[in-house]
Amino acid sequence: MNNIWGPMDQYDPVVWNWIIAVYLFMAGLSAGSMLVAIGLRWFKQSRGLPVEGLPVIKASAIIGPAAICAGMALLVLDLTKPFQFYLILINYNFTSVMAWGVLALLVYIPLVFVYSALVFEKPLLQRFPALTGLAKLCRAVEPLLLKLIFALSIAVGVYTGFLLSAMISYPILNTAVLPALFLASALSVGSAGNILVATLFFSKKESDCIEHVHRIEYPVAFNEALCLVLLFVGLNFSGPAAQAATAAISHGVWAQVFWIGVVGLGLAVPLLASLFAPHHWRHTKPYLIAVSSCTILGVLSLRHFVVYAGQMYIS
Amino acid sequence: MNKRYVMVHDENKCIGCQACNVACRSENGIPDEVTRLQVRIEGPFGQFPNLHYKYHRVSCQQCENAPCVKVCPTGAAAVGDDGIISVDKEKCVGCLYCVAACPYKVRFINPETRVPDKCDFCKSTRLARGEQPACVSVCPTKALTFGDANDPNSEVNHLLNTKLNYQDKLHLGTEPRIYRIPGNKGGIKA
Amino acid sequence: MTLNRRTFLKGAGVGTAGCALSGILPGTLAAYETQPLNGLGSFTHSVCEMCSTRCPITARVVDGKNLSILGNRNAKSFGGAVCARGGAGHSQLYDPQRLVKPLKRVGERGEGKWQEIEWDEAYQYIATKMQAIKEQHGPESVAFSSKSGSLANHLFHLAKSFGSPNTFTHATTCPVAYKVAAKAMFGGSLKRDLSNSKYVINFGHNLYEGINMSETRGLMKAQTEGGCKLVVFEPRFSIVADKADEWHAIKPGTDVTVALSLCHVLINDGLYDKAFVERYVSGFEEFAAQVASYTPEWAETISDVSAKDIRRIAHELAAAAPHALVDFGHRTTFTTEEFDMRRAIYAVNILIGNLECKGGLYMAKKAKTYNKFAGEHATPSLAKASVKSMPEIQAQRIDAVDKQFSMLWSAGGIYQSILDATLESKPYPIRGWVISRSNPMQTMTDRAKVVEAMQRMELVVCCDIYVSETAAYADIILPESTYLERDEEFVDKSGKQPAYYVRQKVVETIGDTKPSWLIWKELAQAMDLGQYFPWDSIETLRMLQTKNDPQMYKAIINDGYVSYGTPLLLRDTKAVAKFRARHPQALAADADGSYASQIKFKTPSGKIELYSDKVEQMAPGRGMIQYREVTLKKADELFFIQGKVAVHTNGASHAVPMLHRLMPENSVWIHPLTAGLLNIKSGDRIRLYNDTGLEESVAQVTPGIRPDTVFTYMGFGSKNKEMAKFHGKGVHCGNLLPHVTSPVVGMNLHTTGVKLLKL
Ligand SMILES: Nc1nc2c(c(=O)[nH]1)N[C@H]1C(S)=C(S)[C@@H](COP(=O)(O)OP(=O)(O)OC[C@H]3O[C@@H](n4cnc5c(=O)[nH]c(N)nc54)[C@H](O)[C@@H]3O)O[C@H]1N2
Ligand SMILES: Nc1nc2c(c(=O)[nH]1)N[C@H]1C(S)=C(S)[C@@H](COP(=O)(O)OP(=O)(O)OC[C@H]3O[C@@H](n4cnc5c(=O)[nH]c(N)nc54)[C@H](O)[C@@H]3O)O[C@H]1N2
Ligand code: SF4
Ligand code: SF4
Ligand code: SF4
Ligand code: SF4
Ligand code: SF4
Ligand SMILES: [Mo]
Repeated sequence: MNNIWGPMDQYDPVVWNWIIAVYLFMAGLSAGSMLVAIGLRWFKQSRGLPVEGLPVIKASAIIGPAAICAGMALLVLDLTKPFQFYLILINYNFTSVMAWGVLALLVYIPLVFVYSALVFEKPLLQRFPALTGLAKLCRAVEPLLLKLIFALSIAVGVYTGFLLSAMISYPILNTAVLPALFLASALSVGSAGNILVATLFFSKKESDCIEHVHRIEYPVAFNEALCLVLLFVGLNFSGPAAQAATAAISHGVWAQVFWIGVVGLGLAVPLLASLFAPHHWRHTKPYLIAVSSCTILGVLSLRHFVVYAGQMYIS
Repeated sequence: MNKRYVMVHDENKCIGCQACNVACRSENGIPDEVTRLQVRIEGPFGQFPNLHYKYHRVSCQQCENAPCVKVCPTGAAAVGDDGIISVDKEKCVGCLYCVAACPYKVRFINPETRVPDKCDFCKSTRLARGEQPACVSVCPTKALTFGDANDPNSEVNHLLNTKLNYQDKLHLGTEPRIYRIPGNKGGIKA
Repeated sequence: MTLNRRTFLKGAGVGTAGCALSGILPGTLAAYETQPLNGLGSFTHSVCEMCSTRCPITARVVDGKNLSILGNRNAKSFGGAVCARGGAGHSQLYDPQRLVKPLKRVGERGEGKWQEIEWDEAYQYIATKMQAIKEQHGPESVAFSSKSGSLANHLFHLAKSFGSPNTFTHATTCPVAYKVAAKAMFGGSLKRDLSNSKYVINFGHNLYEGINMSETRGLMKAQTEGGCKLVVFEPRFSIVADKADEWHAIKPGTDVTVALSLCHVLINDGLYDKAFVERYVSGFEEFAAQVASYTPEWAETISDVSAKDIRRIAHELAAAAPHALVDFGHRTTFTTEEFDMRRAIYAVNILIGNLECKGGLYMAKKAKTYNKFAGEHATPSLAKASVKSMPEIQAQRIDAVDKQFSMLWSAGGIYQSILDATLESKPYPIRGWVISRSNPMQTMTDRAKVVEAMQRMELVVCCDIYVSETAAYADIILPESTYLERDEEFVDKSGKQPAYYVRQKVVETIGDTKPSWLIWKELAQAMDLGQYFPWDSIETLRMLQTKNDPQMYKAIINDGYVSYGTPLLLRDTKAVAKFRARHPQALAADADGSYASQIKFKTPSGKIELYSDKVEQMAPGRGMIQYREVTLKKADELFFIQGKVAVHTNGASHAVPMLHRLMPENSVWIHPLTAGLLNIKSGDRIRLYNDTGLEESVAQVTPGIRPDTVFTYMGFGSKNKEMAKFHGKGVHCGNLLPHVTSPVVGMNLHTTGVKLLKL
């Protein structure tokens, strides 16, 4: 039968686009970077090692606030009413994952700035001596602050996953694996981001902590891979519509993004590099830059893949 | 909330003529490029000559357990006292979460108001004047019936109690309030 | 409503030239600044004109912005409903492409160069040309055509005042074959009581897409509430076919064989209504002899409908009789043998004796008839406004060349004979053509011939609401106000009981348009024929019609639709009893409680004529219904057939923005087997071609069509530049159909052969 009911454009199941994918990526990057840096700090402290001036921590103090701000800017721009975005700050519906996310971010963002301020306390106070009192106050509660940021970072990382998984009609999205997957990939991209920024801007010879960061990457990548496997195996057992969605990794352009971007760049390259790269490469800048860039691209691909392929299949 | 408005679409009586589609647009002032309602004629399915079409009404299902309401961060997508789900233009930021979350893909951004729009059972237009929804009134073959399912004497209740019917995507737990009387194959004789 | 030039154009300092630059056609609504709609009342009762079904409507202006149009609830059988097209009336009203100022051609015909002019200038131009043609060649050299209904009678009145017999409606492109067939057999036309039928056989009456509101609703009611069985013969899987209990994919143009073999079985198996035949029918013996050889087995070899099914259907039909009917269809252009096809359908009805019974065929009960039965002036009647001392017309109509067509002359004439007259001087040339509310370039056949004929004319005038494909070839286009801006006369809408309705203005007129009754009156004045138009408003005419009966006048105006009395079917004893109870002085009933003895037929024999002497005289060899072989296509071609789609009207609605959005293009239905041979997939671009023309469109591969047939919805693919929006989209059917005039009924032919090519 001919279409006599009119244009179908408005029924495109892909509602959220690359802007949301990049936003989710940025939020993950910020949260992951905080988690890795704070984790590293606690790890060092537990061994009585100094933590001041570590390149990775400096990197996180840049990435943490910058990524989340960029992400939020994109998010606001993507609203159909960007100038009324404040409405979302004054109206809350607590059945909505997004409302919880807004609350979490509302606390997280200023705290990340405080964190950053403490990391760069010296140059900051040189410029703005007036802030000395405030800085002292913050320093005093720093341990608590770090715990809070750590918790909120987990919340933000997981939130980006829950945001999508709350949509019940998309089989790829509507799964409990997704928050875990997003947290794992947030950690990957957080550590890779930290390494990249640290290597580019802050690293002199203290690359040993970069090595530490590097070490957590394997379990994280493993988790990420596991989540992906779980996701698609799960789909296979969740009825015909979900089963059909497994085509996301076998057909079309998003399958290519998945295999080349997510699996290739994001998982295989770092893994192969750590297995086969000659030892003397491992602490060189080009190596670190290349590998961490691959991880970052992989996670960016993952966010795009999930957002697009996730919305394309509907049950 | 002692009313439970529902709509019944009899796919046997429906001829896919789109009178409802157009009437909805005129009555509710829906801009040209979007629509609250389509009746898609899908098919033919089957083997020649035993073919059949499916007349698929695509519009808001007025879910009793509405994903759009659940996900809306601001409460702009909300259930009214009458149980009808509509959009509060003043509260909406246009995050599109509800649009993405609606399993029936019937929410769209109204290019004039910049907020999501969808069928609201003509709540602010015809219902407010005590009339039946536009699509129901206009339907040439009386394929649509609208009313309060909580009223035991309502026509909708009678239909639901006497005719085989189904709802779309029940497995998602949305409890849609559009009921459909499936088309018989090979004739619609009562 | 006032109109100003679009100020932004003025502001930009480009004036009229700006129209051309910005692609806005002069004279269209887009070239003017519009203001909010001015509704004339909260609810106005009127009549739809989005198609010629002309449903009663009730319209309401919403926020001064758009209109909500629903059916008029006073008209019960219409149920307060309108279709998608009816509901989109305001989209036409407000369409920026609509014409709101008279246009004069400034380039070559069809070139698309136009200049806005004032009405007086338009009238002067037309009057001068018409007078010149009249003086040189006689008034008969100007043809006048309009789709019947609405204000068509005003155009034809102009023709008569001018002295031309050559008036044409769309009859031979649409329904007239079933009317001529009924005239030959019953002496007048019949209606069908679908809603009460228990068994309906349908030969390509596309009621669930080609919507006729009360009949569409009637059939649905019969099916869903009355347990009616529906049997559909259709080459494609239409919506009616989908809703049917049985669908038989009949070979195009062969319906007559099935109908005749149904007669054969009814007679052979003794199933026919002998008493009815005895009482009302003449020529039965001859007919029985004729159909003796038309066995179902014979029909099967021609039509592809199984003989077993035909036999069974005949038995089922007879069992349901008389509350059963074989639908005689609406568009009667399937074959050149339409006359016998429609007669064969009536013959089945006659054999089952379903006349004037519930669920069968019946004759309209206008006030005159009704009152005669009632024995009192029970219902008011409508008078005709007649003008005395009209000029005598000497010349013969151009379609009066052959007396086989004599039943047509007063029934709309042979529309396409304008082409023969103009191109071949048969019987004499037509040099001027005044067209109103008709788009022959799209709706007549052989578009190239229509173009050629128009090019030959000394004057072409088109009254339309758009620059239609036909108007694009006119010298002057006269913009009529749309139906929502018009008042018209009262219209007789009688069915089983007398009924009247009326079109009334819903909104104030937008732009410089006029209703055509006024246009033709003013044009007549410009030709000094004003004395033949003694009315100055529609009110005057309405008063005349109601013979100054204020009650009747008010009732129709207030309710929009008024029906009087009670339904009367002469052989339905219940209806007759009710009628007699209501009218105490009513005619006495027959012994059986019916009015059966009162049924009269205006045929020469006074009976229903299965065989007609009159027809035999008009067209020798055709007195008896019979099968004649027809060749509709070449052996290596596919049948090409068309139909209406629910969201568009003929060659009229495709630019209306709301409807255009619903369906901008027609694709071509092709069976998977046929498509497979040519490696065509759905969505592929394809070409259809034959000796008449060539069209391109998109393939729609579907099992819902015979492998030897392709189908498309008609009315698309307009070729004029003015309607840029739907210009060139889809198949232009008229460009593929040959120019044909069928015997006796004079019909156009809408079935032909085409070849298919993948592009
Ligand atoms: N939506 C809509 N409704 C309309 C109109 C409109 O334009 N649009 N126009 C109005 C007008 S003017 C008219 S005349 C009526 C027309 O009413 P119909 O005559 O019912 O309408 P069509 O669609 O022209 O019907 C022709 C049908 O016959 C089929 N057919 C073609 N050839 C054959 C054949 O040889 N045998 C058989 N058995 N079937 C065949 C076609 O596939 C098509 O479905 O509709 C009226 N209503
Ligand atoms: N190939 C093919 N040809 C067909 C058919 C088919 O199925 N296939 N169907 C046939 C049938 S059934 C019919 S009835 C004819 C119909 O053919 P036509 O008699 O030509 O009628 P329409 O196409 O309905 O409308 C003709 C014109 O009227 C204009 N119009 C609309 N409203 C108004 C108004 O208020 N005033 C004025 N002045 N103009 C107005 C429209 O813009 C349009 O240009 O076509 C026939 N032609
Ligand atoms: S108006 Fe009625 S018949 Fe037409 S498409 Fe809508 S529901 Fe179906
Ligand atoms: S159908 Fe969609 S828009 Fe309507 S209530 Fe359900 S979820 Fe909301
Ligand atoms: S777009 Fe508006 S209504 Fe929808 S979820 Fe966002 S805020 Fe709520
Ligand atoms: S109920 Fe009203 S808003 Fe909903 S589809 Fe029908 S006409 Fe449109
Ligand atoms: S069938 Fe539709 S378009 Fe035709 S007159 Fe009736 S409402 Fe109008
Ligand atoms: Mo027609």
